[in-house]
Amino acid sequence: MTMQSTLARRQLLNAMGLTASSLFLPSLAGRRFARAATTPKRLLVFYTPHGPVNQRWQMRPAGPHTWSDTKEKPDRSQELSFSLKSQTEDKWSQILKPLYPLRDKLLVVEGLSMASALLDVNTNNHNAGTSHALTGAKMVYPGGFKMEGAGGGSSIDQLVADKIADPNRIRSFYFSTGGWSPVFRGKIEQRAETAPDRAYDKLFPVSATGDATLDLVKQRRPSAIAAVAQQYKKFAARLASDDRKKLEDHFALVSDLERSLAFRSAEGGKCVQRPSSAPAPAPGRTVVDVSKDFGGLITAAFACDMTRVAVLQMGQPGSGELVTALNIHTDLHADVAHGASPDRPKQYGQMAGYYAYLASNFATVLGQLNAVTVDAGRTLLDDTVCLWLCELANGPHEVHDIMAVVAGGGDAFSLGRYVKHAESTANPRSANGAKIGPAHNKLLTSVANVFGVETQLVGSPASDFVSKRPSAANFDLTGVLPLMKT
Amino acid sequence: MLLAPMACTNRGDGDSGDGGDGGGGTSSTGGAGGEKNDGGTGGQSVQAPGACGPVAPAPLRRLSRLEYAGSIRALFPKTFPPDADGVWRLDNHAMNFQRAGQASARRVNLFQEPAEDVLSHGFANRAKNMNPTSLHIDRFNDVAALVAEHVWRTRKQGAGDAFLPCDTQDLACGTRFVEQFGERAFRRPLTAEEKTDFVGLFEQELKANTFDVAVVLTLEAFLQAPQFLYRAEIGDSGTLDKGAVKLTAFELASRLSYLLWSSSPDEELMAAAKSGDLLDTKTLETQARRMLSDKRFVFMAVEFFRQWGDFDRIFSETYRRRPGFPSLAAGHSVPSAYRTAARDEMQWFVEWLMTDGDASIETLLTSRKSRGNGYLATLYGPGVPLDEKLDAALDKTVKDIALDAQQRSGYLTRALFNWTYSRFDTPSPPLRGAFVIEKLLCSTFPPPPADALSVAPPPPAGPTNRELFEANVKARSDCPVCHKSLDGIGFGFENYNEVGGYRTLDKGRPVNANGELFDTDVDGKFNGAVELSAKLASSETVRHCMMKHLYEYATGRDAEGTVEDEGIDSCRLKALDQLLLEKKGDLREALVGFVTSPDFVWRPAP
Repeated sequence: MTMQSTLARRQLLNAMGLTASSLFLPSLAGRRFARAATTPKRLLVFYTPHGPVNQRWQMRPAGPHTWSDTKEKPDRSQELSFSLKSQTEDKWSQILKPLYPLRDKLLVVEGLSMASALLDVNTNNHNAGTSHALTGAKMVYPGGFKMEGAGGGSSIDQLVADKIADPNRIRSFYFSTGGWSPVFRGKIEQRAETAPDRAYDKLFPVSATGDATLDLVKQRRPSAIAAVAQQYKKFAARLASDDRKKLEDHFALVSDLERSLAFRSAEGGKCVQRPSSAPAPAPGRTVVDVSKDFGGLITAAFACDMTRVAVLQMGQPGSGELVTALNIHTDLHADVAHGASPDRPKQYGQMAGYYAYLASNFATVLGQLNAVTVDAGRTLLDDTVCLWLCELANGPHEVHDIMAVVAGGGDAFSLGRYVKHAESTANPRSANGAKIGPAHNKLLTSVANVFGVETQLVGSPASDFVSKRPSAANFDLTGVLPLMKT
Repeated sequence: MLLAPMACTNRGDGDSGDGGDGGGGTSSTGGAGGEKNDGGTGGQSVQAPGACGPVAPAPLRRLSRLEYAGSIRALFPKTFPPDADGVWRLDNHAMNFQRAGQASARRVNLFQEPAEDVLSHGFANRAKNMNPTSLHIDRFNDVAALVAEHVWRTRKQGAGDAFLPCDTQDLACGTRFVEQFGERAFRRPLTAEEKTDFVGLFEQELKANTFDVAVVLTLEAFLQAPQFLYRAEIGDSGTLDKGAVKLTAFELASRLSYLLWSSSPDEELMAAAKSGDLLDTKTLETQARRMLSDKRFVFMAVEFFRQWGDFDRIFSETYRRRPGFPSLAAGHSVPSAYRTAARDEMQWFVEWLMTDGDASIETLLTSRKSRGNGYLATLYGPGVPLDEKLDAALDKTVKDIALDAQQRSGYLTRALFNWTYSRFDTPSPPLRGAFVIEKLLCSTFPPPPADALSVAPPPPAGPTNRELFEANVKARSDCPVCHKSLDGIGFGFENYNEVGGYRTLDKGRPVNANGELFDTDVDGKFNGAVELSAKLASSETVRHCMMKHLYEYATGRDAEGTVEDEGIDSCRLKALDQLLLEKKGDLREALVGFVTSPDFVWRPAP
């Protein structure tokens, strides 16, 4: 075993959570990236179902509970920014407290609205949140039915992958432990890998099967795929426009596969050696344990530059996990989330506990990235913008006053801070003058911009919504989000 | 009256309220108000024949998971044999096989290996949703390799399918293999260019490596090729008529086999295509009737109902633990054998309905045919609530079960339906009502408001389940609008507890299962789900709705328009509905009617 492979193996074990120490890996430091050291190299999107409890995640300099759970937020119209670094742990909110150890590398954003979802056609908000959270785009209806909308544009991970993915490697990961897909490429809903053991096999294929023929087949597989790709190219030309587009898309993806397979079986194999065991299959395990395996695989793949973009989606825990981890003996969606209002303290507390559980899970994944040192004083987390977005704003399924947390990415954004945006625009769905904050499109645009995606808007322009929602004309969805940099 | 709208309907363009959610309800069904499919016609106006006007759209269809499995089974029938009774079922043990040469000793399931299809109205075969994604391409590559390796290994061991037409390990044999296997994989003879391409691949690998390597890689290439994964239809350009063309005989054979078998044509159908006889309507009908009586029809028929009724939803984690099992410790799930028994009963029931039964909606809703093991018998017996400790003594053999005529009739009175559409620990009248409205009446309703509260688990004493739901609805002025219809139906199921067991008492008081249907063609009061089922079984709306589901399943797209707005499909649906009426509701006859209609043999020209 060479020194390089030894290091790579240790690095992977570390990423998988199998060792505690960080490693210094000079071979990785800036070797593959031509960008300036301050430019983030990778994007991780952490996406969770439902939404938190506002009064249990939002923070103020004086502490987490500056207003009563049962009262309207008193400073809704105000803008606010304060340092997280100086906040003692006791002043952290219940939900965000698990992230306290990483406070220097966090930027918590309060006051955003999923304005594009509010401006869009009314549907159930799980559908709206899933479609808008990572796209900010007006929904489309592949099946032709308005209750089954889908993202009307690429999600932020795919936009960034378009810019930074190496075409000869794996374009992006989409790992999930369950739930509806928030990931879209163009307007096509993407499907997630849900089995960590399968993902492991794909990343670290065995070099020898013990069967000479099958070993040769494995080596030669890219040439067979190249032949397949040519069939798509030729066959597409014989079809009408919509049908042709489908096969052209298929052709492009087969071509991607051809290149990434060649990489995985050649260069990828040199970068890391497979650990002694693959993750256990997902069925029967908690979504948190499975997501930790996925976090380890993402960390390893990021460290070895096998891919540069990943989405990790948390599924809703099963009943066993709810009981043992959260002491919730009922239906999380119907009974807890829907009932999570201040006048139902039990459900309210359970929802807050659930979201603290998810924050702890996010902290675990961030910790996995932070445990791999890529340069003196820099970890993988410092090169990776991590963005936590939720399907909804809160238990009762609203989509304004959403929670957003940015972690890592070096100085792409000014970290170690908590910012609150002024919520002073009329909610287009509300008749009683309720106010909402800036559109989350701006956050997505900010993230896209730091990766070099030159756009003023991620998502759909307000004009796209005017025909159904005239008040959309008053909304500004474009531009970057203020307060992200000091 | 057909497709009568409910009083509380959602045409999908409402813009008030803050959304909320469907409350975990059934996937929505309907179709009104949606954006138009252009079905691969490129927007051009096409004419073609038929009393119903222009030819219907025919967007490019990729094999669904089911069709993929069916196609592989057809290509390698000895490696992936049917059950002992000759029927293809998804839980067939041969569908599982060991993955070669991976660190994880994961077993592979032929059906589950391809990436999941995107659902529309609960159905997994809509062409517009069958888009390529990186996971699909990755999985198609995976499964092609797995199948190729598996059939090659099996063959090496002297078993399985003899997919090679010769014994000589040379290019001549490889060429014959490409021609013969290619024709079966592509459901038509290869074009000269295709033959050149695939023989070229074979020859390249033969020269560079070995004959076996060339065989396995060529198999992999065939199983990922567009001609295999997609059901492309070019049509016969010689029949061009105002933008429409007739399908070629081979394309027609594929349409027929994927409709009726979810698989590729067999030798007899291919022979009818080769001779051109299949282009004759009588031959087409003869073949269709042969295929409907073939055991492979079960593969399609069960899947249609499985997707319609979301049979596997009973396994959803959210719905696993039930207080109906008082002996279960906290955090323990109801033993899966009960859920499996409830699901298997319905799979058997619809299989019986569509083969030995009369294939009618009336029978679906009113038959008391039942078959299952001791777990199912326990659910249907007086023994509910169940006792986990007694499970070991339950009879595992499958037998006919006699259902009490006062308690049970067809689909809506069975354990699967009532268990699936319950909440965590209570029956859910709205969910049960929603299923009837969406899946049997083809109507819809808006989502509940965002701040709609669910019903809290009922205390051991106090109001009944019905009283709790009634109180919640009355608490808000905006709820009764929709819940009048939802609960008017849903309360009729109050005799079934959260696992589908029959009950006459709730909180020690007699169950009130009185309900009422509103805004349908069978309006009126009823008492209990047996009476409700009888009313729905006589409904023209229900018959038309099920016809619509089947039509959409057959065409791979959502029907456009409704009876009211005369969309492109409404005339066709009316005609098929009339046929269904004449044929005493036999859905098989409706399929024959569809197959022999002009729409089945024409398509928009590319």
